Amino acid sequence: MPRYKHVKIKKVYIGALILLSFMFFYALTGLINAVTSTFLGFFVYLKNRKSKINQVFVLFCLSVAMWSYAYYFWPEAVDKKTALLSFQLLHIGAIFIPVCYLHFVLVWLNLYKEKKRILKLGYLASFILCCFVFTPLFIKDMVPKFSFKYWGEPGILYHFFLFIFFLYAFYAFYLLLKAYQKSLGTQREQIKYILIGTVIGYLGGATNYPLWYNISIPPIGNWTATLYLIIVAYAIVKYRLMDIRFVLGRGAVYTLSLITIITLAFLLMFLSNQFLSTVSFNITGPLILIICILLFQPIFRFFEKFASKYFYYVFYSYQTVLTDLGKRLTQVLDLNKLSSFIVGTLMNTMKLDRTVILIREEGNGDYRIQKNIGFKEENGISLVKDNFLTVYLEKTQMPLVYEELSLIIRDTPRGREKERLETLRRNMKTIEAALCLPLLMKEKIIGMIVLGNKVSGDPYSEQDIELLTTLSNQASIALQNAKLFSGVRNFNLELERQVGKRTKELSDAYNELKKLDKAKSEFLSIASHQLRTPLTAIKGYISMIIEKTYGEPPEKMKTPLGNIYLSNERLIKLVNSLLDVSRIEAGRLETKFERLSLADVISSVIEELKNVAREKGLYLKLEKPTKLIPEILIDQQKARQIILNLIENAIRYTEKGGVTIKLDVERSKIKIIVSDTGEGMTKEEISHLFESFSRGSAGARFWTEGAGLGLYVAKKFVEIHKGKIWAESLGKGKGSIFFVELPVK
Amino acid sequence: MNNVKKILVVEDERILGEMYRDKFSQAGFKVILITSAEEAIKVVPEEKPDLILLDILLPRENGIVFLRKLRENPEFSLIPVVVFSNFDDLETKKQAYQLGVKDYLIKTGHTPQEIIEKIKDYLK
Repeated sequence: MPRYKHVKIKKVYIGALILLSFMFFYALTGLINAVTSTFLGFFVYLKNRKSKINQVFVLFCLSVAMWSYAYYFWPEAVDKKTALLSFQLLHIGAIFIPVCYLHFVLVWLNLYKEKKRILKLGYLASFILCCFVFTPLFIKDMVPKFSFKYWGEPGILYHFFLFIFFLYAFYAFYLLLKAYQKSLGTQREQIKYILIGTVIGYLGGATNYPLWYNISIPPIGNWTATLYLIIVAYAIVKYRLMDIRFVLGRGAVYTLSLITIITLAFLLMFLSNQFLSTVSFNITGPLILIICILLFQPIFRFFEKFASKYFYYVFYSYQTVLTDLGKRLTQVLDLNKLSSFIVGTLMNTMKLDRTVILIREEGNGDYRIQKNIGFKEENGISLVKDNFLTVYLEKTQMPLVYEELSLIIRDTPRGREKERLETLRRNMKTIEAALCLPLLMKEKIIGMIVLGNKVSGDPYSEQDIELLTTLSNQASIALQNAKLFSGVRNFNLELERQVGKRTKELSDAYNELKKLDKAKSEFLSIASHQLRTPLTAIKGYISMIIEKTYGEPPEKMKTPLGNIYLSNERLIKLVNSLLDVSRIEAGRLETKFERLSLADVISSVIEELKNVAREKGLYLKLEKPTKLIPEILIDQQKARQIILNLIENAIRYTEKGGVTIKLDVERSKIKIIVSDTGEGMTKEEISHLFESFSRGSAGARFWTEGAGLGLYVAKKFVEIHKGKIWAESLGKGKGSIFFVELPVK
Repeated sequence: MNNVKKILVVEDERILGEMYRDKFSQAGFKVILITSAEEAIKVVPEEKPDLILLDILLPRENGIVFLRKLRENPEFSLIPVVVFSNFDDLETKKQAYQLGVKDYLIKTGHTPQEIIEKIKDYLK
């Protein structure tokens, strides 16, 4: 029956394997506990050597380490003697665990002085017990129990030890529970941690004792001491704790995953043994291992999802809300809406009693309240009255939690900063601010969100802070964008307003000018008309006297009458010029273009002014043109006026010599040149020559006889003909030349 | 005395009106001097003038209004009208010519004698 034998051998082999792995498990838990306690002891001590809590924690770790190292050697013991020695040594550690723990709890809760006597008593009892550890009064004998080769039989003092052990453990637990009910915030959270750690640790540790009393429960919970130590160390070292629900959730997920995978491994081993017995374990073993490794991640994820949904559901939805908030932040550009949105969401999601958003002004760096719910207005801004908080947050780039300020202050060396931090803590307490969340842009503070307390009284957890930090980054960008947007919009509005204002000013000024201009033109028009009536009467009567309507006038009156008539004519001309100007300026010039010969027009003007020139002893001549001058389209009256004005002007300023008029054709232009031998002009005078009397003082200054309108009217009339007019002079006393250029077409 | 031409002078300026009346009378015209448009329009059917010398700027109704009323009656629409005014306005001139005036004279531009020359032309 070789096959049967083979199976039997295999069964023995597997049985031994399982037993070995059991023994290995216990040794391993001991080793893990030992290493963890040693490491954590050092770690916590180095973290803050001066802290009494840390020192006492080291003591506690030492007792656990002592117990654990010896525990590690117990399953390895080859004979009864070494097994006993291991048990005796591990109990030295075990005796001191509860009292050291109580010591730690008393220091932690600031009850050390109060409960000193109980503690001393505990230490005394422990020492006494310690003295008896190596006697049979403590461990009577080592016998096989359960699947262990050697396990202790309790001596008389062992019962006493257990009594003391649980008494002190329960007492410490009781004190913690009492303190938990009274405490608030971070401390409450820390106590919660330690309490849970204590329960886990002692429950697990307690699995070591049933076998002593022949109850068949193996010490399966031994390893929980490690968990216990880690939790407590974490609570001591960290300012800010993770939400315990989260920690426990994670722990549960890991544990469940591990248990599942181990169960699966055993199941697979069993199945392979049953159905694949021909295949060597050397092949199936690694295969199972690979399968387990591959399956661990999916299983872990499954439990994680499960736990997220049911175990810490609140946290799950809360994260979702904040993620959504982050997304929506980028969609709002209006600063006010954005701020309201942020504050509203934060308060609703985290259930806060108050929140304020402060925005820092560019330039002076002052803060202003952008959105506030719950804080008193003056309080909202009070934290940033001095620069300290801003500088501090820019330095740390981290949210500042009120609960942690006392720890930060504790770790800050004496000096100015410590004082400022203390002031800050007082201020935060006064206004009931629990958290300052900096809004940073390129490491510079652009604003701040100050949060109040949670209505539930819970402190801010590690997750809260992480989420808030993420959120603050997004909020910073969104707020900065909104600020820029509103800046641009305000700038636009301001610009529009300014442009509107300026436009109105301009338009008002323009209207005012237009009104003035109209008034001037109307004045000129009416005044001219009113002036013309008496001029008409004078002209009419003088002409009638000269024409002898009233009989022959005396001989000697003829010259004076002629002079009166001429003077009146001059006045009439002046009034006509004024009327022309008013028409030009009102844009109401009438035109009537005809094809005419300019030479004819010039000749008729010369004819008219011949006598005037002669009386002054001046010559007035039109030079016969060398080329054929074509007829061009002109308004006869205006062309005549141009030439008349130019020649009259020349005669007026010439005392000797005379005036010469020339006509010339150059390409498509006809040029009229009026030159005189008169007093000439300076460049300054030329530059003001064609301005109307109302346009500048220079004109009025040197036009002493005329009104200074002739050349202005001439220029305007030339422009009507799309021509050009200009003057040249070699200087004072050297005569002047006036040019008019008119297009042939 | 059929040859004596009757001229209606509508002129509100007394001095000017008298001046023209003196001159035109001496030149052999029968002159009726009226100082307002309203009165002038009443006088036209009675007097049936051979020519009207019309000022434009008159009290209340102006010369253009008078012209319009005058042209409403076909009987008088053929009476030659010469405007003589110092109101030298493009728009008014246009209106006057549209209403069929023979000429639009600027008073300061002409002596009474020159106006007589013109009138004689239009009466031919």
